[in-house]
Amino acid sequence: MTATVTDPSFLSRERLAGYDPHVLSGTRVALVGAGALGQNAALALALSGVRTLIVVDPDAFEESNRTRSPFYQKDAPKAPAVAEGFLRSATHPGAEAYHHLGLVQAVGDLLAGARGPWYPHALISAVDSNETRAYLSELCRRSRLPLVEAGFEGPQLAVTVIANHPGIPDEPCWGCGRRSLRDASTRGLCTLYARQAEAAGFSPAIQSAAQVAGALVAEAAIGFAHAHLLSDGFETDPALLPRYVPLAGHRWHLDIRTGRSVLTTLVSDPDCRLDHVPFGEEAARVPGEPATLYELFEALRRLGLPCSEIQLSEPVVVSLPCAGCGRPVVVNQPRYAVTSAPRCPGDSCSPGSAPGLPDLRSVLRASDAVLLDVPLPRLGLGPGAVARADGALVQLPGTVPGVFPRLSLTPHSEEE
Amino acid sequence: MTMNVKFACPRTPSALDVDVDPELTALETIHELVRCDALLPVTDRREYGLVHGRTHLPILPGRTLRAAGVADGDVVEVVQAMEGAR
Repeated sequence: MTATVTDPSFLSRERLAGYDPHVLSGTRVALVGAGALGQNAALALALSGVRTLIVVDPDAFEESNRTRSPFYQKDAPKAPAVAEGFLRSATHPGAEAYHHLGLVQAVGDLLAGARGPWYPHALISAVDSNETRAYLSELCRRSRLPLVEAGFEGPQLAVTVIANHPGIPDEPCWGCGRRSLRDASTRGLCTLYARQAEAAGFSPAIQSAAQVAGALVAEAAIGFAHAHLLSDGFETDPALLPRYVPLAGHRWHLDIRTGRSVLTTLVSDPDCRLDHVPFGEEAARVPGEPATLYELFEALRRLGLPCSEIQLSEPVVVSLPCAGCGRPVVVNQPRYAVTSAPRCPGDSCSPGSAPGLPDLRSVLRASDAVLLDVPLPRLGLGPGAVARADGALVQLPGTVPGVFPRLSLTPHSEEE
Repeated sequence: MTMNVKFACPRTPSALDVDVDPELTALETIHELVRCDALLPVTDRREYGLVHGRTHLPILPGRTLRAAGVADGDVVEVVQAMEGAR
C-alpha cells in the first residue's frame, strides 16, 4: 500500500461524497459482536478508510456462519479473526485493530467509561441478545457515547441510531417502547442465542441483509466521527446532528426483498425500564494497580477519597444455592458471567439442607471481610471499570491499548 | 364508535383495512392483529411495534390509538423488532 492520507488520490471518490480522510484517520469505532452484522460492518469501515477498530466478542466461528461471514476462519475465535479481516481489507495505511475475546460486560467501561484519548466516536452494537443490547444502551447513555444498533431476521432488518447527546433533553434510548428488554437466558452468548432461536423456528440471517445492515451502521458511525472531529460545537449543539448523522434519533426498518421500509422518529418512553441517566461528572482515576477489594479501598484512600462502600454498575453474585442440595455455594462473579446454578464442590452435597438464598450485591463495603481478598475482576471491577466510591465517580486503571491485543499495518500507533 | 385504519404488516403485500376501537392501546391492537392471523404470534423473541404512518412516530405500547393521534383513514405501520445479528 503506497497511498498516504495526505495524497490527493487517497479516498478521492470518498472525498467527493463527503468523507474527510483526516477524520477517518482519527476515527475509532468500537464494535461489539463479530457475527454476520459485525463482520459486514467491519468490512465497510475498513474499505471506507477508518483507521481504528476495537472488536469485542466471546464466541468462535461455527460452520453454519460461513455463508454470511466475510472473515470466516474455521473454528477460530471471532474477535481476533475479525480484527485481522479488518486489517486485510483496510484502505488506511496506518490501520489498527484491537480485540477482546470475552463478554463486553467485562470491558464495557474500558471502552466507554471515560472520555480519554481512547474514547471511541461510536459504538456499534451487533449482538443477538437483548440482554446485551440493554446493557450497551445503558453503557452508552451513561458515557454519552453514540450508539448504532441493528438486527435482522431473514431479509428484514432494522437499524437504530442514538446520539446520546448532552444537548438533547430526555433523549430516547434503544429500550424505549420495547417490552422484551432482558433475555437473561443467553447472557450475551450469541452461539447459545442462535441455537435457541433456531429451535424456536426463526429465519436465519442472510448475507445480503447483513451486508445492508453492516453498511448502514458503518455509515452512521463514520458520521458521528465526522461530527465529533470536524465540528467544534457539536458537543453542545445538537442542531448539528442532522448534518452529519441524519439517521440519529431514528429507527429504520427495511425488507430488502420487498423494498418495504418504515422510518420512525424515536420518542422517549416514560415507562422505559432502562436507565437513562448519564454520568454527571468526569471519573477520578484510581492510582496504582489495585488487585483486590482491600487494595482498591487503600488506593482510594491515597487518592483522597477514603470511602466505606463502592457501588457497582452491575451486581456481583456472592453466593447461590447449590443446584443439588440448596446449600449456599460461593460464586463471586459478576451477574452477567453466571449462566447456571452452581453445585457444591466435589461430592459434598447435603440433601435435606435448608436452602440458602441468592446473595447478590450492588454495593461492596469495606466491612465485607469475606470479599476483601477477592480479585477485582471477579467482582466486576476489571481494568477500566467505573464505579461510585461513596458517591464519587472513579475509574480503575486500564486503557484499550494497554489491555487488548493489537494488530496493525504499522508497528506503532500514531495518534493524530 | 370505531374508525377505519389501514395496518401495513410485515410480510403482507397489501395493507389490512379494518375498523378498530380508537381506545385500543398499541399492545391490545397488536394482540388483535395476532388473533386474526395478520401477524405471527408474539413470543419472547418476536415483538411488534406500531408506527403512525402520517407522523412517523411510534405508538408506545400503553398508548391508545386515539391518544397517539391516529384518525379515521390513517395508515399504521406494524414493525417487528429485529434481534438477529449473527
